Amino acid sequence: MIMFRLSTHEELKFIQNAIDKLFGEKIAEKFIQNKHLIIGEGKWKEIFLVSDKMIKIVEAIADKKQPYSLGMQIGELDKNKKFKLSLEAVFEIVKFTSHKIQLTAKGAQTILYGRNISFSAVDKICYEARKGDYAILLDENGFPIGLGKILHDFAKMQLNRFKICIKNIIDLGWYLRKGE
Amino acid sequence: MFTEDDLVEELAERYNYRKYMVKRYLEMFGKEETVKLLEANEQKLIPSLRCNTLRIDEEDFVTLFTKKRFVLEKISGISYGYRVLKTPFPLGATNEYLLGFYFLQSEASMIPVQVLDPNPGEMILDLAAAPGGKTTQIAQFMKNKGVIVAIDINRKRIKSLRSNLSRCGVYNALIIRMDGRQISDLGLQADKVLLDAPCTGEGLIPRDPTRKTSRELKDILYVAELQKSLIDGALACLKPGGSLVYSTCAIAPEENEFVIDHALKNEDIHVKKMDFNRGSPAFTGVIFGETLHPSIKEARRLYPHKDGTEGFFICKLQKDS
Ligand SMILES: C[S@@+](CC[C@H](N)C(=O)[O-])C[C@H]1O[C@@H](n2cnc3c(N)ncnc32)[C@H](O)[C@@H]1O
Repeated sequence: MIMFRLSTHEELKFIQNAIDKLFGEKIAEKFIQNKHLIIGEGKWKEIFLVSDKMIKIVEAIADKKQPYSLGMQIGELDKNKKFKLSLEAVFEIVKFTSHKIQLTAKGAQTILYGRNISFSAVDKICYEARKGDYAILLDENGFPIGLGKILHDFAKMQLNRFKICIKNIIDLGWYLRKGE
Repeated sequence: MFTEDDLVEELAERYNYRKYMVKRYLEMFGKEETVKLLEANEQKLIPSLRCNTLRIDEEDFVTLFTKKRFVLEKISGISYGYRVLKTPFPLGATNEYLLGFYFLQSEASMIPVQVLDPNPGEMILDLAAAPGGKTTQIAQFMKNKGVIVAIDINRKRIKSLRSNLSRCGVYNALIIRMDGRQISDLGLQADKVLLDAPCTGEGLIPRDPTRKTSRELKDILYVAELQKSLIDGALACLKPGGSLVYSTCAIAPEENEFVIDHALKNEDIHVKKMDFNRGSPAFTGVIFGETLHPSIKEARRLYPHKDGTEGFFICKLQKDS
């Protein structure tokens, strides 16, 4: 059974740091604003971003019913305390971060099939990307479709255009593969 | 001599329905209209979608889809609703679907939320929410502000509800899996309630011909009792002055007018005229042995042969302040 509670101060700091590390300074603050983090604790922890008004309702019914889900699920903390960002969070954070990579139409399709991509699938890198970075992947029209991890340095990527250089971490194809 | 029983037999055989259904249609609509209904049930409905402005600007959406050679026609009186007159490829798995730019939703099923008219900042209870067509529509009207309490009992369907809310960028919903009949235990006081009730789906025959033979009268009577308990629960959670929209895709008066008539036994509740002029007035007077409250005529029914939609019922109730 999953129990829901407000995040502790440490958890909030941990998640803020994790988001800033992924997407740049002060991104977590812009993203979280005046909302609260709720932790759903079961085998692992799910993290939700929730308004004041919703917290009041959750508290009022807490002794009778636990939620199934609430607000925006921004990610999970697995057993090893590794933070995994959700698709919903990608959609919001894209408004604030410069960590974005635009793909070709073919590249976007590959990502949506859940696969990794090579440099030939990249249309434009919107910031100084480095090996180990996470970046939001945009389709050919500039819409966010997932999150990728950059596997090689930029110079090396250009040398071999067909070697896998961005690992698919999450993508919208999930809604068809698992979500329905 | 050709008797009424012969007519039932002939129509049931010709269109492949259970006899009790045809017999009841004849009683509800008379011969001419029954034939029109049965005939219309054989035709395909025009598909439709709702542009999800939580994820894309409506104008940008129309431009994008027109460029992709879809032919869209705005549905009058329904915000963000479009009929899809031409589809160069199926709409169920496009990238734009994954991006949450639209929800595939039938024309009739867009009406309840339009009539409920949720506003940003309100507290809305959606008592039978999965898979979330109407929950996402409510969130869109609310611009993601305020709270939707979305209830469903079904484990599998609540998973699709969650996935659909996520895909469509709905962030103001609190999903609870529970039996809606127990909702009053939570002590909620909602500004507005939607009860898009579980029903026998008799109105969906144009989409699901197996419904012509899959249900008995006793199924209808069973579901009607569930619907009455759900509406009692829903009304108990409604603030004084608040309104409730009850809808089904059922044809049987037991699942529609009878449920409203039951709700009207509560003296604080009355039927509200809807700001919506499609469809036909609901049944009043005596039908299947029950005398219905005259105010129920303000509720609306939609039919395939008259409105080009699936069979649908919508009623708005108001609780006195
Ligand atoms: C007509 S469907 C709702 C469709 C939904 N409103 C939409 O627009 O996508 C009815 C729903 O009621 C749910 N249901 C059935 N019995 C219920 C109960 N006792 N309490 C809560 N939900 C129930 C079913 O699981 C089903 O998802």
